[in-house]
Amino acid sequence: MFKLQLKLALRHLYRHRSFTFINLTGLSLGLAAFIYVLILVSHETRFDNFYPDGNRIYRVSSTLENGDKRMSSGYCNAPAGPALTAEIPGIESFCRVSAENQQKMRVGTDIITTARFRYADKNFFDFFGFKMIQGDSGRVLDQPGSIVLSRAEAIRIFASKNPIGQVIKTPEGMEFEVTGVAENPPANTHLVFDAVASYLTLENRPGIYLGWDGGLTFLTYIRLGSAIDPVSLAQKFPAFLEEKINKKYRSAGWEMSLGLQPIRDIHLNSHLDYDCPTNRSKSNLLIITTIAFLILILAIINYINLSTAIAFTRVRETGMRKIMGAAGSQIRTQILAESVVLSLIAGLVSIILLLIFYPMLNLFTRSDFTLKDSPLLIAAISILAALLTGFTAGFGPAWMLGRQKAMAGIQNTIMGRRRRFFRNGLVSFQFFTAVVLISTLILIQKQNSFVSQMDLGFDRHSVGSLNVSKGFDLKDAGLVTDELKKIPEIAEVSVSSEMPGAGVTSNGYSLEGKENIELIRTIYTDENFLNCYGIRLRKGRDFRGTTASDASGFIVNQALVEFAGWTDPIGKRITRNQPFEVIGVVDDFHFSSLYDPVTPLIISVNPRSDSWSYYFVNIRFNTGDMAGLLNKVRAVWEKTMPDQLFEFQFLDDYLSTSYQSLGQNQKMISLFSLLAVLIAAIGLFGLSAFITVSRRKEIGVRKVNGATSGQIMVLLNYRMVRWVLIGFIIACPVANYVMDRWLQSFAYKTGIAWWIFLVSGAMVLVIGVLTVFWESYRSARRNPVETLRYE
Amino acid sequence: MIQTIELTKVFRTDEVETTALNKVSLWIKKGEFAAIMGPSGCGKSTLLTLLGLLDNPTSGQLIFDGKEVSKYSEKQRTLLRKSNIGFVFQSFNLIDELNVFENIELPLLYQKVPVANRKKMTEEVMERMSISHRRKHFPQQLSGGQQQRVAICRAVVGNPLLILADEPTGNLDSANGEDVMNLLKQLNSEGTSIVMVTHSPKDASYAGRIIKLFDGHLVAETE
Repeated sequence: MFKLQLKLALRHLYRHRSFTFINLTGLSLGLAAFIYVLILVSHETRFDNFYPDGNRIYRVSSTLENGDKRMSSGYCNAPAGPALTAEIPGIESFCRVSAENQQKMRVGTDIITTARFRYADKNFFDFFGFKMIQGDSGRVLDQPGSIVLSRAEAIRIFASKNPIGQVIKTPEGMEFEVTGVAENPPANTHLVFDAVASYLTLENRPGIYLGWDGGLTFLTYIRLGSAIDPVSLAQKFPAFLEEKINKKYRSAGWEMSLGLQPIRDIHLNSHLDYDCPTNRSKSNLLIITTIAFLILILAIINYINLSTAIAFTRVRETGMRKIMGAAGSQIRTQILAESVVLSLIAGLVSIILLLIFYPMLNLFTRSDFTLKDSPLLIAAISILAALLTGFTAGFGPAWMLGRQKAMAGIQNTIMGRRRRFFRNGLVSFQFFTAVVLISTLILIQKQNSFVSQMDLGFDRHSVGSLNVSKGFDLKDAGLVTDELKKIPEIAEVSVSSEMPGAGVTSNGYSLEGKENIELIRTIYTDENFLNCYGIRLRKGRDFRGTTASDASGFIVNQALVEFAGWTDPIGKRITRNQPFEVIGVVDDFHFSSLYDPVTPLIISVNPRSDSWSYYFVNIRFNTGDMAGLLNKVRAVWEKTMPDQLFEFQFLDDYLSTSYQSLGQNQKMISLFSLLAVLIAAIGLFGLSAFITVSRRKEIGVRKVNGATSGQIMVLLNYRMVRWVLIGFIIACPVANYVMDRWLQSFAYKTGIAWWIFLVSGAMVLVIGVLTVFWESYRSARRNPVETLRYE
Repeated sequence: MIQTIELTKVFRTDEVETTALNKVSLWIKKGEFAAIMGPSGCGKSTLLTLLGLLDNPTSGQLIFDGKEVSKYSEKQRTLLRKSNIGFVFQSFNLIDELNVFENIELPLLYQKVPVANRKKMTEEVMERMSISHRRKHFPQQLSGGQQQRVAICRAVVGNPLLILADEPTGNLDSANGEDVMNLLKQLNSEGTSIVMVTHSPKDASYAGRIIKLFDGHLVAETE
């Protein structure tokens, strides 16, 4: 029986090829999206699950509080790890790891960038169980200047040469000796690395402060003894911190606390202000999963709609089977077999699609798993998803045809009103989904263009920056800036510690009228900064150059004035080591991400300090010939700074790329939404084709009785338009809600305009009419004799 | 073998009530070949569907092989039908996805006949009806006459007590029609009871008895 049913199912699918093709396309795309997201979710939920004794490893997180201000971080002060281990019983060992940073390296004459460079304690490889290919895991990081490369990085840098013992220099003048090669870290770790250098290197490096005052700079992991309860252990932290730092912090109004996070919770459940860039929010996963489900549901609806539409052509066949003695269950099994076979084929196609497209999807979803990671799991997920889809899709049609009376075999009864209502309801649901998704897509575009055209408060179009990776002092800076100023296409040159738009670091200051020390963003620069970036001064004056008043004066932004509650800001005092005076106030400008509102900012020049490092040379230009400009700037750079890399970036380009990465989630959502709309359109096309075929006789009769082709077209399209409208009306409030929720994540947001609904409704209507049009046109034009001959 | 006592069938829709069959009483004997005749809409096909246990009467009794079955559920009727009654239709009603062999084999499959027997029985009936050479063909590849031949094979493969034929020659040319009638006659002579609905007096002449219906009433019976 099974063999026969399989054979019958295959023959049925072959006979109704167009039906099969439409369903196969929809189901394959739907399943591919669904399986991809399932794999993604399973990958994300299996993050950090492979460390030896991983259930005993915790990350020490830190929180700084000052009144109602709170800042949480996954990073800790450098001494926290060793001090905790030494002083609190129950902690077996610790390991500190720095954030992953880009690091330029000079290998021979080449300069390459290692994307994920970290410093870590010498037990890093043993603590986390990362496998070594060359070198002794316990000893590879036990010397200052030792470095371990990942396998991929070793091959990239040294090709087939043995990397052990090779020396790598950095543009900043550091030297590392390769002491080991580690297996590439698995994709499901937040501790990704291309190169790991020894922590001891930092201890010997001038200008690096690794004490309690050195800031929150290290991810600190501890392994607890096997019977230790983390909650009771953490109760000892306050007393511990009191001794180490809180006494000192409290005098400035701050208080620090530490917490323990199970290492497996970091990836999805850690939402600290400063955390690992690989972390993902659960809500984000939920959105993608929801859309993937929607896509699959749309594909299943296509199947149900087409199967029930086609079912009336099968009423005679199933009735006939019943006359031959088939039971309802046998008919149902047969219909289910068809949908399951089709789904399994779709599952196969979707795996092929995934194999081709998953690297592209991974770019969209910021994931780096490979399908090779767990082929069995993927096969199991695919088969299960396909079976589930097959049963869900086939259930309705099977139930419907299984119920059919044997009499139907002779009478060939056509389906009733209720069934048609059900089908039309499903079509409305598809339109509903399409309207919601398209409105959201339009809104995402609107928000993106709003952000990219927003007045940032500085000139982004005619400024570029040279990045000085080593940093230089004012004396060195003068060598370059004096030469650059001689280029006629350059209107202004300014050096600065930070570049607007890229984020700015904070220092603690005491503001006049405020009791506590406040963490305030600070840009160190020179007197040309405002002019160079076109930042508008609203009160007071700009810096004048190397006068004494500049050195003891600050320019602040309007946000700081409002924060401090000053009505007359000029002359107010800000203290850090020494008192400074506010000499000017600038309009707020967006020095960090547009996700965040503009916070208080201090702009400082420190002309008397020779030791301060500047990292950017900013150039304001007045030419459209970028290539010519670049050549001249490069010539000056190579002459004055021969040992420094030439890295020039136009501000416009930089901001565009940084907004692009902000938009990555939106891109992913857009991609999946488009897929959903496509699947709905495919289904509608198939459905309209079958409906038109089923109304052939009616059309023929109408034409014989004098209906024109136009009238027939109206007749065939009218119903579709009605269902689009119903879907549209229900979709509007839902879309409004979804869009409103989405916009809430932005500090600066565009508005939800009425035309978004109108455009998405119109688009869906056009998609609907276009898909129905061709079939209805063909039917309307057909000679009625041809259609009536069937009867 | 089949007896109907005041068999009545009324079809109701929201607005209309149609009495398709009005108190029809008749008796079909074992081994009989009966033809039901009458103008369009007189209730011939309705009578056939009731005799074939495809539908229940509105009132009256239907006695099949000694059992009163008029109140049987669809499931009970299916059970009784599948081993006792074979059907032949005007429009053949073969299943397009199945080839000749599989179409004929289908009733045996639903009767859960073991594979070896099924194959043997199907082969035998194909041989008998001279359609073996078309065993791998699909309905669309056959002429009307051949399709009806396959349909007859399908109707008789399970050795039913009764064959019900609804205008079996209606879609065939005269040569093929005659061929089909000869087949039915042959089956009847081998012992199978046959009830056939027809418009054609010529076809009816093959039958041993003609039952005439008019407006749902039994109006005449001729031997």
